[in-house]
Amino acid sequence: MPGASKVFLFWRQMTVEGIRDQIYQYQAKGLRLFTSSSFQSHSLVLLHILSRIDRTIPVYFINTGYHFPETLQFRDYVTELFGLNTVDLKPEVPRFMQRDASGNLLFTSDPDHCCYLNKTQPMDAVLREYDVWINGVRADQSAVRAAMKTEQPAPYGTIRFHPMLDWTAKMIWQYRKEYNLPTHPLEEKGYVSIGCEPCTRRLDPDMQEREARWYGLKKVECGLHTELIVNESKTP
Amino acid sequence: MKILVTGGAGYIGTELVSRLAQMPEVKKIVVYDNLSRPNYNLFLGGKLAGHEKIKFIKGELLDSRGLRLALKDIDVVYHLAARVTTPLAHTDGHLYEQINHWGTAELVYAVEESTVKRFIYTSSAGVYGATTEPADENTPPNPTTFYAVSKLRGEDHVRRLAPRIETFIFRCGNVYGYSRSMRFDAVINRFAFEANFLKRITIHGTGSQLRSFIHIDSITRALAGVLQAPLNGGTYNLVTRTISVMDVVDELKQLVPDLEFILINQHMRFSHLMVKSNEFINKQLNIHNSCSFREDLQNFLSRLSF
Ligand code: SF4
Repeated sequence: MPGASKVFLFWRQMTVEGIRDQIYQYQAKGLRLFTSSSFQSHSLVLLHILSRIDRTIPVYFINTGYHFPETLQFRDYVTELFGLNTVDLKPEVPRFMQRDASGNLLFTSDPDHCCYLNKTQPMDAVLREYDVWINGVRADQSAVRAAMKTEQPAPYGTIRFHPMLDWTAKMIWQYRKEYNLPTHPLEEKGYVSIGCEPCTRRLDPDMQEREARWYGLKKVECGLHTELIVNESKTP
Repeated sequence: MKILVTGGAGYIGTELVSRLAQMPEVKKIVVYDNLSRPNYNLFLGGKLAGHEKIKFIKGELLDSRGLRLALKDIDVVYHLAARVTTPLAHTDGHLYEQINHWGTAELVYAVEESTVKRFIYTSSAGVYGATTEPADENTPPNPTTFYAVSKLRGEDHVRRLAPRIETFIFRCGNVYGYSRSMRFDAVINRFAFEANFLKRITIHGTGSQLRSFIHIDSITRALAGVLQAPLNGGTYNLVTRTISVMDVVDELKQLVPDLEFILINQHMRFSHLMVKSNEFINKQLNIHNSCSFREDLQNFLSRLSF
Protein backbone atom coordinates (compact mmCIF):
# COMPACT_ATOMS: atom_id res chain seq x y z
CA MET A 1 0.00 0.00 0.00
CA PRO A 2 1.86 3.12 -1.18
CA GLY A 3 2.69 5.52 1.54
CA ALA A 4 1.36 3.31 4.33
CA SER A 5 3.79 2.91 7.18
CA LYS A 6 4.81 -0.53 8.36
CA VAL A 7 3.08 -0.02 11.65
CA PHE A 8 -0.05 1.86 10.76
CA LEU A 9 -2.12 1.04 7.70
CA PHE A 10 -3.94 4.27 6.93
CA TRP A 11 -4.18 6.98 9.45
CA ARG A 12 -4.17 4.95 12.65
CA GLN A 13 -5.02 1.35 11.84
CA MET A 14 -2.36 -1.09 12.99
CA THR A 15 -1.01 -3.59 10.49
CA VAL A 16 -0.22 -7.18 11.40
CA GLU A 17 3.46 -6.22 11.33
CA GLY A 18 2.78 -3.33 13.63
CA ILE A 19 0.97 -5.59 16.08
CA ARG A 20 3.80 -8.10 15.92
CA ASP A 21 6.43 -5.44 16.57
CA GLN A 22 4.50 -4.11 19.52
CA ILE A 23 4.09 -7.57 21.02
CA TYR A 24 7.76 -8.35 20.54
CA GLN A 25 8.61 -5.09 22.25
CA TYR A 26 6.46 -5.96 25.24
CA GLN A 27 8.03 -9.39 25.39
CA ALA A 28 11.53 -7.98 25.09
CA LYS A 29 10.78 -5.95 28.20
CA GLY A 30 9.79 -9.15 29.99
CA LEU A 31 6.13 -8.20 30.25
CA ARG A 32 3.53 -10.94 30.70
CA LEU A 33 0.84 -10.87 27.98
CA PHE A 34 -2.61 -12.34 27.66
CA THR A 35 -5.66 -11.80 25.55
CA SER A 36 -9.35 -12.43 26.03
CA SER A 37 -11.88 -13.45 23.44
CA SER A 38 -15.60 -13.99 23.09
CA PHE A 39 -15.04 -16.26 20.08
CA GLN A 40 -17.47 -14.49 17.82
CA SER A 41 -16.68 -14.56 14.11
CA HIS A 42 -15.25 -11.06 14.11
CA SER A 43 -13.08 -11.82 17.17
CA LEU A 44 -11.27 -14.50 15.24
CA VAL A 45 -9.21 -11.95 13.32
CA LEU A 46 -7.24 -10.93 16.39
CA LEU A 47 -6.93 -14.56 17.49
CA HIS A 48 -5.65 -15.53 14.08
CA ILE A 49 -3.14 -12.68 14.02
CA LEU A 50 -1.91 -13.65 17.48
CA SER A 51 -1.65 -17.29 16.47
CA ARG A 52 0.69 -16.16 13.68
CA ILE A 53 2.79 -14.20 16.16
CA ASP A 54 2.89 -16.37 19.30
CA ARG A 55 0.54 -19.25 20.03
CA THR A 56 1.57 -19.53 23.63
CA ILE A 57 -0.12 -16.25 24.62
CA PRO A 58 -3.02 -17.33 26.87
CA VAL A 59 -6.47 -16.65 25.44
CA TYR A 60 -8.98 -16.22 28.26
CA PHE A 61 -12.53 -17.17 27.40
CA ILE A 62 -14.86 -15.61 29.95
CA ASN A 63 -17.15 -18.54 30.60
CA THR A 64 -20.07 -16.86 32.31
CA GLY A 65 -21.98 -20.14 32.40
CA TYR A 66 -24.66 -18.55 30.25
CA HIS A 67 -23.16 -19.12 26.82
CA PHE A 68 -24.92 -20.87 23.99
CA PRO A 69 -23.66 -24.46 23.68
CA GLU A 70 -22.86 -23.54 20.07
CA THR A 71 -20.42 -20.87 21.28
CA LEU A 72 -18.61 -23.38 23.51
CA GLN A 73 -18.35 -25.84 20.65
CA PHE A 74 -17.06 -23.10 18.38
CA ARG A 75 -14.49 -22.08 21.01
CA ASP A 76 -13.18 -25.65 21.12
CA TYR A 77 -13.10 -25.90 17.35
CA VAL A 78 -11.20 -22.62 16.86
CA THR A 79 -8.80 -23.45 19.68
CA GLU A 80 -7.89 -26.65 17.87
CA LEU A 81 -7.80 -25.04 14.43
CA PHE A 82 -5.51 -22.14 15.37
CA GLY A 83 -3.56 -24.10 18.00
CA LEU A 84 -4.46 -21.60 20.72
CA ASN A 85 -3.65 -21.69 24.41
CA THR A 86 -7.26 -21.14 25.52
CA VAL A 87 -8.07 -20.82 29.21
CA ASP A 88 -11.65 -21.25 30.45
CA LEU A 89 -12.31 -18.50 32.99
CA LYS A 90 -15.23 -19.34 35.28
CA PRO A 91 -16.87 -17.16 37.92
CA GLU A 92 -15.84 -17.60 41.55
CA VAL A 93 -19.38 -17.19 42.86
CA PRO A 94 -21.37 -20.42 42.45
CA ARG A 95 -24.54 -20.12 40.42
CA PHE A 96 -26.87 -20.71 43.35
CA MET A 97 -25.41 -17.64 45.05
CA GLN A 98 -26.33 -15.62 41.98
CA ARG A 99 -30.06 -15.33 42.62
CA ASP A 100 -32.02 -12.21 43.42
CA ALA A 101 -34.52 -11.58 46.20
CA SER A 102 -37.23 -13.41 44.22
CA GLY A 103 -35.08 -16.49 43.75
CA ASN A 104 -34.52 -15.77 40.07
CA LEU A 105 -31.11 -15.69 38.43
CA LEU A 106 -29.59 -12.22 38.42
CA PHE A 107 -29.84 -11.59 34.70
CA THR A 108 -33.62 -11.34 35.14
CA SER A 109 -33.42 -8.29 37.39
CA ASP A 110 -29.89 -6.91 37.69
CA PRO A 111 -27.78 -7.63 34.61
CA ASP A 112 -25.02 -5.28 35.77
CA HIS A 113 -24.55 -7.36 38.88
CA CYS A 114 -24.73 -10.55 36.82
CA CYS A 115 -22.02 -9.25 34.45
CA TYR A 116 -19.97 -8.14 37.42
CA LEU A 117 -19.94 -11.61 39.00
CA ASN A 118 -19.50 -13.55 35.78
CA LYS A 119 -17.22 -11.31 33.74
CA THR A 120 -15.67 -8.37 35.52
CA GLN A 121 -14.76 -10.03 38.81
CA PRO A 122 -13.06 -13.09 37.25
CA MET A 123 -11.21 -10.86 34.77
CA ASP A 124 -10.13 -8.53 37.54
CA ALA A 125 -8.32 -11.47 39.14
CA VAL A 126 -6.57 -12.27 35.85
CA LEU A 127 -5.40 -8.69 35.42
CA ARG A 128 -3.38 -8.96 38.63
CA GLU A 129 -1.27 -11.70 37.07
CA TYR A 130 -0.32 -9.99 33.81
CA ASP A 131 1.21 -6.80 32.50
CA VAL A 132 -0.48 -6.47 29.11
CA TRP A 133 -4.08 -7.25 28.15
CA ILE A 134 -4.36 -7.55 24.40
CA ASN A 135 -7.97 -6.65 23.78
CA GLY A 136 -9.82 -6.73 20.47
CA VAL A 137 -12.25 -3.82 21.01
CA ARG A 138 -13.02 -1.70 17.97
CA ALA A 139 -13.93 1.97 17.97
CA ASP A 140 -16.86 1.39 15.62
CA GLN A 141 -18.59 -0.93 18.12
CA SER A 142 -19.85 1.61 20.67
CA ALA A 143 -19.34 5.14 21.94
CA VAL A 144 -17.45 3.80 24.97
CA ARG A 145 -15.01 2.02 22.71
CA ALA A 146 -14.71 4.94 20.28
CA ALA A 147 -13.24 6.98 23.12
CA MET A 148 -10.45 4.47 23.81
CA LYS A 149 -6.80 4.66 22.81
CA THR A 150 -4.54 1.98 21.35
CA GLU A 151 -2.68 1.76 24.62
CA GLN A 152 -4.47 2.58 27.81
CA PRO A 153 -3.83 1.91 31.47
CA ALA A 154 -5.90 -0.64 33.38
CA PRO A 155 -6.03 -1.48 37.10
CA TYR A 156 -2.97 -2.95 38.86
CA GLY A 157 -0.58 -1.22 36.49
CA THR A 158 -1.64 -3.39 33.57
CA ILE A 159 -1.61 -1.96 30.06
CA ARG A 160 -4.60 -2.50 27.81
CA PHE A 161 -3.35 -2.88 24.26
CA HIS A 162 -6.09 -2.41 21.64
CA PRO A 163 -4.54 -3.40 18.32
CA MET A 164 -7.83 -3.65 16.45
CA LEU A 165 -9.17 -0.33 17.71
CA ASP A 166 -9.30 1.40 14.35
CA TRP A 167 -9.98 -1.57 12.16
CA THR A 168 -13.29 -1.21 10.35
CA ALA A 169 -15.95 -3.85 9.84
CA LYS A 170 -14.87 -4.00 6.21
CA MET A 171 -11.26 -4.74 7.11
CA ILE A 172 -12.39 -7.47 9.47
CA TRP A 173 -14.48 -8.94 6.70
CA GLN A 174 -11.59 -8.79 4.23
CA TYR A 175 -9.17 -10.45 6.63
CA ARG A 176 -11.67 -13.20 7.41
CA LYS A 177 -12.13 -13.79 3.71
CA GLU A 178 -8.43 -13.77 2.92
CA TYR A 179 -7.67 -16.40 5.56
CA ASN A 180 -10.96 -18.23 5.16
CA LEU A 181 -11.72 -17.99 8.87
CA PRO A 182 -14.68 -20.01 10.19
CA THR A 183 -18.02 -18.45 11.11
CA HIS A 184 -19.86 -18.82 14.41
CA PRO A 185 -22.64 -21.37 13.78
CA LEU A 186 -25.39 -19.10 15.12
CA GLU A 187 -24.71 -16.42 12.53
CA GLU A 188 -26.46 -18.33 9.83
CA LYS A 189 -29.47 -18.49 12.15
CA GLY A 190 -29.70 -14.70 12.17
CA TYR A 191 -27.64 -13.74 15.20
CA VAL A 192 -25.29 -10.79 14.61
CA SER A 193 -23.71 -10.14 18.00
CA ILE A 194 -23.48 -13.16 20.23
CA GLY A 195 -22.92 -13.06 23.96
CA CYS A 196 -24.68 -14.84 26.79
CA GLU A 197 -27.87 -16.55 25.72
CA PRO A 198 -30.21 -14.72 28.12
CA CYS A 199 -29.03 -11.30 26.93
CA THR A 200 -28.70 -11.98 23.21
CA ARG A 201 -31.51 -11.43 20.77
CA ARG A 202 -31.87 -12.58 17.22
CA LEU A 203 -32.58 -9.42 15.28
CA ASP A 204 -35.80 -8.76 13.45
CA PRO A 205 -35.25 -7.07 10.08
CA ASP A 206 -36.07 -3.61 11.40
CA MET A 207 -33.73 -3.78 14.41
CA GLN A 208 -30.27 -2.28 14.81
CA GLU A 209 -27.17 -4.27 15.60
CA ARG A 210 -26.84 -2.68 19.04
CA GLU A 211 -30.24 -4.15 19.92
CA ALA A 212 -28.86 -7.67 19.64
CA ARG A 213 -27.57 -7.37 23.20
CA TRP A 214 -29.42 -6.33 26.38
CA TYR A 215 -32.39 -5.37 24.24
CA GLY A 216 -34.57 -2.85 26.04
CA LEU A 217 -31.88 -1.73 28.47
CA LYS A 218 -29.61 1.29 28.38
CA LYS A 219 -26.78 -1.14 29.11
CA VAL A 220 -24.36 -1.42 26.19
CA GLU A 221 -21.23 -2.71 27.91
CA CYS A 222 -20.67 -5.46 30.43
CA GLY A 223 -18.21 -3.71 32.73
CA LEU A 224 -15.05 -5.15 31.19
CA HIS A 225 -14.58 -1.99 29.19
CA THR A 226 -15.93 0.47 31.70
CA GLU A 227 -14.61 -0.84 35.01
CA LEU A 228 -11.40 -2.61 34.04
CA ILE A 229 -9.86 0.47 32.51
CA VAL A 230 -8.31 3.64 33.81
CA ASN A 231 -9.67 6.65 32.06
CA GLU A 232 -6.68 8.98 32.02
CA SER A 233 -8.70 12.16 32.02
CA LYS A 234 -10.13 11.09 35.36
CA THR A 235 -6.91 9.98 37.00
CA PRO A 236 -5.57 12.40 39.55
CA MET B 1 -18.19 -48.36 39.19
CA LYS B 2 -19.15 -45.21 41.08
CA ILE B 3 -22.37 -43.49 40.17
CA LEU B 4 -23.96 -40.14 40.90
CA VAL B 5 -27.71 -39.74 40.43
CA THR B 6 -29.11 -36.21 40.38
CA GLY B 7 -32.72 -36.26 41.47
CA GLY B 8 -31.94 -39.63 43.01
CA ALA B 9 -34.66 -39.26 45.65
CA GLY B 10 -37.36 -38.50 43.10
CA TYR B 11 -40.01 -40.59 41.38
CA ILE B 12 -37.69 -42.38 38.94
CA GLY B 13 -34.56 -41.86 41.05
CA THR B 14 -35.85 -43.81 44.05
CA GLU B 15 -36.53 -46.90 41.96
CA LEU B 16 -33.33 -46.52 39.94
CA VAL B 17 -31.15 -46.18 43.03
CA SER B 18 -32.75 -49.27 44.60
CA ARG B 19 -32.03 -51.24 41.43
CA LEU B 20 -28.47 -50.00 40.97
CA ALA B 21 -27.64 -50.81 44.59
CA GLN B 22 -28.27 -54.48 43.83
CA MET B 23 -25.89 -54.62 40.87
CA PRO B 24 -22.52 -56.18 41.83
CA GLU B 25 -20.50 -53.96 39.48
CA VAL B 26 -21.87 -50.86 41.22
CA LYS B 27 -19.60 -49.99 44.12
CA LYS B 28 -20.96 -46.62 45.16
CA ILE B 29 -24.04 -44.50 44.52
CA VAL B 30 -24.23 -40.82 45.39
CA VAL B 31 -27.78 -39.52 45.53
CA TYR B 32 -27.60 -35.80 44.75
CA ASP B 33 -30.96 -34.20 45.40
CA ASN B 34 -32.32 -30.98 46.88
CA LEU B 35 -35.55 -32.68 48.06
CA SER B 36 -37.56 -29.97 46.33
CA ARG B 37 -40.55 -32.29 46.58
CA PRO B 38 -40.78 -33.10 50.23
CA ASN B 39 -40.70 -36.80 49.52
CA TYR B 40 -38.52 -38.82 51.85
CA ASN B 41 -39.52 -42.31 50.83
CA LEU B 42 -36.12 -43.22 49.43
CA PHE B 43 -34.89 -42.92 53.00
CA LEU B 44 -37.63 -45.03 54.62
CA GLY B 45 -38.88 -48.62 54.72
CA GLY B 46 -35.94 -50.49 56.21
CA LYS B 47 -32.51 -51.22 54.79
CA LEU B 48 -32.32 -51.56 51.01
CA ALA B 49 -30.33 -54.38 49.45
CA GLY B 50 -26.91 -52.87 48.86
CA HIS B 51 -27.68 -49.96 51.18
CA GLU B 52 -24.08 -49.66 52.30
CA LYS B 53 -23.14 -48.38 48.84
CA ILE B 54 -25.53 -45.43 48.96
CA LYS B 55 -24.60 -41.96 50.12
CA PHE B 56 -26.80 -38.86 50.13
CA ILE B 57 -25.81 -35.28 49.34
CA LYS B 58 -28.46 -32.65 49.77
CA GLY B 59 -27.46 -30.27 47.04
CA GLU B 60 -28.77 -28.40 44.09
CA LEU B 61 -27.79 -28.25 40.45
CA LEU B 62 -26.85 -24.58 40.62
CA ASP B 63 -24.29 -25.25 43.36
CA SER B 64 -21.32 -25.23 41.00
CA ARG B 65 -18.82 -25.92 43.75
CA GLY B 66 -20.90 -28.59 45.46
CA LEU B 67 -21.26 -30.41 42.16
CA ARG B 68 -17.54 -30.43 41.54
CA LEU B 69 -16.93 -31.92 44.96
CA ALA B 70 -19.70 -34.49 44.57
CA LEU B 71 -18.29 -35.65 41.23
CA LYS B 72 -14.94 -36.62 42.65
CA ASP B 73 -14.05 -40.17 41.51
CA ILE B 74 -17.45 -40.66 39.87
CA ASP B 75 -17.57 -42.78 36.68
CA VAL B 76 -21.21 -42.50 35.64
CA VAL B 77 -23.75 -39.71 36.04
CA TYR B 78 -27.50 -40.13 35.74
CA HIS B 79 -29.04 -36.70 35.39
CA LEU B 80 -32.68 -37.03 36.43
CA ALA B 81 -33.11 -33.85 38.47
CA ALA B 82 -35.55 -31.44 36.90
CA ARG B 83 -38.34 -29.11 37.59
CA VAL B 84 -41.15 -31.11 36.09
CA THR B 85 -44.25 -30.05 34.30
CA THR B 86 -47.81 -30.22 35.37
CA PRO B 87 -50.69 -29.91 32.92
CA LEU B 88 -51.22 -26.40 31.64
CA ALA B 89 -48.19 -25.12 33.53
CA HIS B 90 -47.43 -22.10 31.45
CA THR B 91 -46.52 -19.67 34.17
CA ASP B 92 -43.10 -18.72 35.44
CA GLY B 93 -40.97 -19.98 32.60
CA HIS B 94 -37.85 -18.78 34.36
CA LEU B 95 -37.97 -21.52 36.98
CA TYR B 96 -37.94 -24.22 34.32
CA GLU B 97 -35.05 -22.43 32.63
CA GLN B 98 -33.20 -21.98 35.87
CA ILE B 99 -33.19 -25.66 36.77
CA ASN B 100 -33.56 -27.63 33.56
CA HIS B 101 -31.50 -25.41 31.28
CA TRP B 102 -28.95 -23.57 33.40
CA GLY B 103 -28.81 -26.25 36.08
CA THR B 104 -27.99 -28.82 33.41
CA ALA B 105 -25.37 -26.46 31.94
CA GLU B 106 -23.81 -26.16 35.38
CA LEU B 107 -23.68 -29.94 35.80
CA VAL B 108 -22.12 -30.32 32.35
CA TYR B 109 -19.40 -27.80 33.25
CA ALA B 110 -18.61 -29.75 36.40
CA VAL B 111 -18.60 -33.06 34.51
CA GLU B 112 -16.16 -31.61 31.96
CA GLU B 113 -13.66 -31.14 34.75
CA SER B 114 -14.24 -34.61 36.25
CA THR B 115 -13.34 -38.24 35.64
CA VAL B 116 -16.86 -39.15 34.50
CA LYS B 117 -16.89 -41.55 31.56
CA ARG B 118 -20.60 -41.92 30.92
CA PHE B 119 -23.44 -39.43 31.16
CA ILE B 120 -27.12 -40.35 30.98
CA TYR B 121 -29.74 -37.63 30.71
CA THR B 122 -33.49 -38.16 30.92
CA SER B 123 -34.96 -35.67 28.50
CA SER B 124 -38.61 -35.62 27.54
CA ALA B 125 -40.67 -36.76 24.58
CA GLY B 126 -42.28 -33.35 25.03
CA VAL B 127 -39.40 -31.80 23.06
CA TYR B 128 -41.16 -32.84 19.83
CA GLY B 129 -44.16 -30.64 20.59
CA ALA B 130 -47.43 -31.30 18.80
CA THR B 131 -47.24 -34.24 16.40
CA THR B 132 -49.50 -35.52 13.65
CA GLU B 133 -47.52 -38.72 13.26
CA PRO B 134 -45.36 -40.55 15.79
CA ALA B 135 -42.07 -38.65 16.08
CA ASP B 136 -38.83 -40.54 15.70
CA GLU B 137 -35.38 -39.29 16.67
CA ASN B 138 -34.97 -37.55 13.31
CA THR B 139 -38.13 -35.48 13.71
CA PRO B 140 -37.03 -31.89 14.37
CA PRO B 141 -37.95 -30.92 17.93
CA ASN B 142 -40.52 -28.18 18.26
CA PRO B 143 -41.28 -27.80 21.96
CA THR B 144 -44.30 -25.75 22.96
CA THR B 145 -44.12 -25.54 26.74
CA PHE B 146 -41.60 -23.83 29.01
CA TYR B 147 -40.80 -27.24 30.42
CA ALA B 148 -40.11 -28.84 27.06
CA VAL B 149 -38.08 -25.88 25.80
CA SER B 150 -35.91 -26.03 28.91
CA LYS B 151 -35.39 -29.80 28.56
CA LEU B 152 -34.33 -29.35 24.95
CA ARG B 153 -31.82 -26.65 25.88
CA GLY B 154 -30.56 -29.06 28.53
CA GLU B 155 -30.04 -31.62 25.76
CA ASP B 156 -27.95 -29.15 23.78
CA HIS B 157 -25.63 -28.65 26.72
CA VAL B 158 -25.39 -32.38 27.43
CA ARG B 159 -24.65 -33.15 23.78
CA ARG B 160 -21.52 -31.06 24.05
CA LEU B 161 -20.03 -33.84 26.16
CA ALA B 162 -20.45 -36.44 23.44
CA PRO B 163 -17.01 -36.14 21.78
CA ARG B 164 -15.27 -36.88 25.10
CA ILE B 165 -17.73 -38.85 27.22
CA GLU B 166 -20.20 -41.57 26.28
CA THR B 167 -23.41 -39.59 26.35
CA PHE B 168 -26.97 -40.88 26.30
CA ILE B 169 -29.98 -38.65 25.93
CA PHE B 170 -33.28 -40.42 26.43
CA ARG B 171 -36.46 -38.67 25.36
CA CYS B 172 -38.76 -40.39 27.80
CA GLY B 173 -42.48 -40.77 27.52
CA ASN B 174 -44.79 -39.81 30.34
CA VAL B 175 -43.82 -42.14 33.18
CA TYR B 176 -46.51 -44.02 35.11
CA GLY B 177 -46.76 -46.73 37.72
CA TYR B 178 -45.97 -47.28 41.35
CA SER B 179 -42.72 -45.99 42.78
CA ARG B 180 -41.87 -45.67 46.47
CA SER B 181 -41.58 -41.94 45.84
CA MET B 182 -44.86 -41.28 44.10
CA ARG B 183 -45.79 -38.47 41.77
CA PHE B 184 -49.48 -37.95 41.47
CA ASP B 185 -49.25 -35.06 39.02
CA ALA B 186 -48.38 -37.37 36.11
CA VAL B 187 -51.57 -38.12 34.23
CA ILE B 188 -52.01 -41.88 34.62
CA ASN B 189 -50.98 -41.83 38.26
CA ARG B 190 -53.38 -39.04 39.03
CA PHE B 191 -56.18 -40.90 37.27
CA ALA B 192 -55.43 -44.06 39.22
CA PHE B 193 -55.52 -42.12 42.47
CA GLU B 194 -58.75 -40.32 41.63
CA ALA B 195 -60.38 -43.51 40.32
CA ASN B 196 -59.50 -45.50 43.41
CA PHE B 197 -60.18 -42.94 46.10
CA LEU B 198 -62.62 -40.45 44.60
CA LYS B 199 -64.35 -42.56 41.97
CA ARG B 200 -64.29 -39.52 39.77
CA ILE B 201 -61.54 -38.52 37.34
CA THR B 202 -60.89 -34.95 36.21
CA ILE B 203 -59.95 -34.65 32.56
CA HIS B 204 -58.46 -31.66 30.75
CA GLY B 205 -59.45 -31.02 27.14
CA THR B 206 -61.56 -33.46 25.16
CA GLY B 207 -59.63 -36.49 26.33
CA SER B 208 -58.92 -37.53 22.76
CA GLN B 209 -55.30 -36.30 22.92
CA LEU B 210 -52.78 -39.07 22.35
CA ARG B 211 -49.74 -39.33 24.61
CA SER B 212 -46.73 -41.62 24.74
CA PHE B 213 -45.93 -43.41 27.96
CA ILE B 214 -43.44 -45.68 29.64
CA HIS B 215 -43.90 -47.71 32.80
CA ILE B 216 -41.67 -46.87 35.77
CA ASP B 217 -40.29 -50.43 35.85
CA SER B 218 -39.36 -50.22 32.19
CA ILE B 219 -37.62 -46.91 32.48
CA THR B 220 -35.63 -47.98 35.53
CA ARG B 221 -34.67 -51.25 33.84
CA ALA B 222 -33.62 -49.31 30.74
CA LEU B 223 -31.59 -46.75 32.65
CA ALA B 224 -29.82 -49.37 34.73
CA GLY B 225 -29.33 -51.46 31.58
CA VAL B 226 -27.28 -48.71 29.94
CA LEU B 227 -24.42 -49.77 32.20
CA GLN B 228 -24.21 -53.17 30.51
CA ALA B 229 -25.86 -52.93 27.10
CA PRO B 230 -23.64 -52.91 24.00
CA LEU B 231 -24.99 -49.54 22.99
CA ASN B 232 -23.37 -46.43 21.58
CA GLY B 233 -24.17 -43.04 23.02
CA GLY B 234 -26.79 -40.97 21.23
CA THR B 235 -30.26 -39.52 21.46
CA TYR B 236 -33.00 -42.12 21.78
CA ASN B 237 -36.72 -42.22 22.37
CA LEU B 238 -37.77 -44.23 25.39
CA VAL B 239 -41.47 -45.02 25.20
CA THR B 240 -43.49 -48.20 25.15
CA ARG B 241 -47.15 -47.17 24.65
CA THR B 242 -49.07 -44.46 22.86
CA ILE B 243 -52.70 -44.13 23.92
CA SER B 244 -55.28 -41.42 24.36
CA VAL B 245 -56.20 -39.96 27.70
CA MET B 246 -59.68 -41.38 27.24
CA ASP B 247 -58.21 -44.87 26.64
CA VAL B 248 -56.70 -44.65 30.12
CA VAL B 249 -60.10 -43.78 31.54
CA ASP B 250 -61.76 -46.65 29.66
CA GLU B 251 -59.30 -49.14 31.09
CA LEU B 252 -59.81 -47.80 34.59
CA LYS B 253 -63.57 -48.09 34.18
CA GLN B 254 -63.11 -51.80 33.67
CA LEU B 255 -61.33 -51.98 36.99
CA VAL B 256 -63.41 -49.51 38.96
CA PRO B 257 -66.97 -50.16 37.78
CA ASP B 258 -68.71 -47.18 39.35
CA LEU B 259 -66.14 -44.72 38.01
CA GLU B 260 -67.26 -41.36 36.67
CA PHE B 261 -65.24 -38.76 34.87
CA ILE B 262 -65.64 -35.05 34.53
CA LEU B 263 -64.33 -33.01 31.61
CA ILE B 264 -63.53 -29.63 33.02
CA ASN B 265 -62.61 -27.77 29.83
CA GLN B 266 -63.78 -29.86 26.94
CA HIS B 267 -63.91 -26.92 24.58
CA MET B 268 -60.14 -27.28 24.35
CA ARG B 269 -58.84 -29.81 21.90
CA PHE B 270 -55.23 -30.54 22.74
CA SER B 271 -52.71 -31.65 20.15
CA HIS B 272 -51.39 -35.16 20.07
CA LEU B 273 -47.92 -35.90 21.35
CA MET B 274 -47.02 -39.21 19.81
CA VAL B 275 -43.55 -40.63 19.93
CA LYS B 276 -42.39 -43.69 18.08
CA SER B 277 -40.86 -46.42 20.20
CA ASN B 278 -37.35 -47.23 19.14
CA GLU B 279 -37.59 -51.02 18.86
CA PHE B 280 -33.85 -51.46 18.60
CA ILE B 281 -33.22 -49.57 21.83
CA ASN B 282 -36.09 -51.24 23.64
CA LYS B 283 -34.64 -54.61 22.69
CA GLN B 284 -31.09 -53.69 23.68
CA LEU B 285 -32.31 -52.41 27.02
CA ASN B 286 -34.71 -55.29 27.44
CA ILE B 287 -37.85 -53.26 27.85
CA HIS B 288 -41.17 -54.32 26.52
CA ASN B 289 -44.74 -54.33 27.72
CA SER B 290 -44.59 -57.51 29.78
CA CYS B 291 -48.30 -57.29 30.51
CA SER B 292 -51.35 -55.49 29.14
CA PHE B 293 -52.03 -51.92 30.07
CA ARG B 294 -55.01 -53.05 32.14
CA GLU B 295 -52.78 -55.39 34.13
CA ASP B 296 -50.35 -52.50 34.67
CA LEU B 297 -53.18 -50.46 36.12
CA GLN B 298 -54.40 -53.39 38.18
CA ASN B 299 -50.93 -53.85 39.67
CA PHE B 300 -50.81 -50.18 40.44
CA LEU B 301 -54.21 -50.15 42.15
CA SER B 302 -53.16 -53.16 44.19
CA ARG B 303 -50.33 -51.10 45.70
CA LEU B 304 -52.74 -48.51 47.07
CA SER B 305 -53.57 -49.00 50.72
CA PHE B 306 -57.39 -49.15 50.50
S1 SF4 C 1 -24.47 -10.79 29.52
FE1 SF4 C 1 -26.36 -11.29 30.63
S2 SF4 C 1 -26.17 -13.42 31.31
FE2 SF4 C 1 -24.13 -12.71 30.65
S3 SF4 C 1 -23.15 -12.12 32.53
FE3 SF4 C 1 -24.10 -10.26 31.66
S4 SF4 C 1 -26.19 -10.15 32.50
FE4 SF4 C 1 -25.36 -12.19 32.94
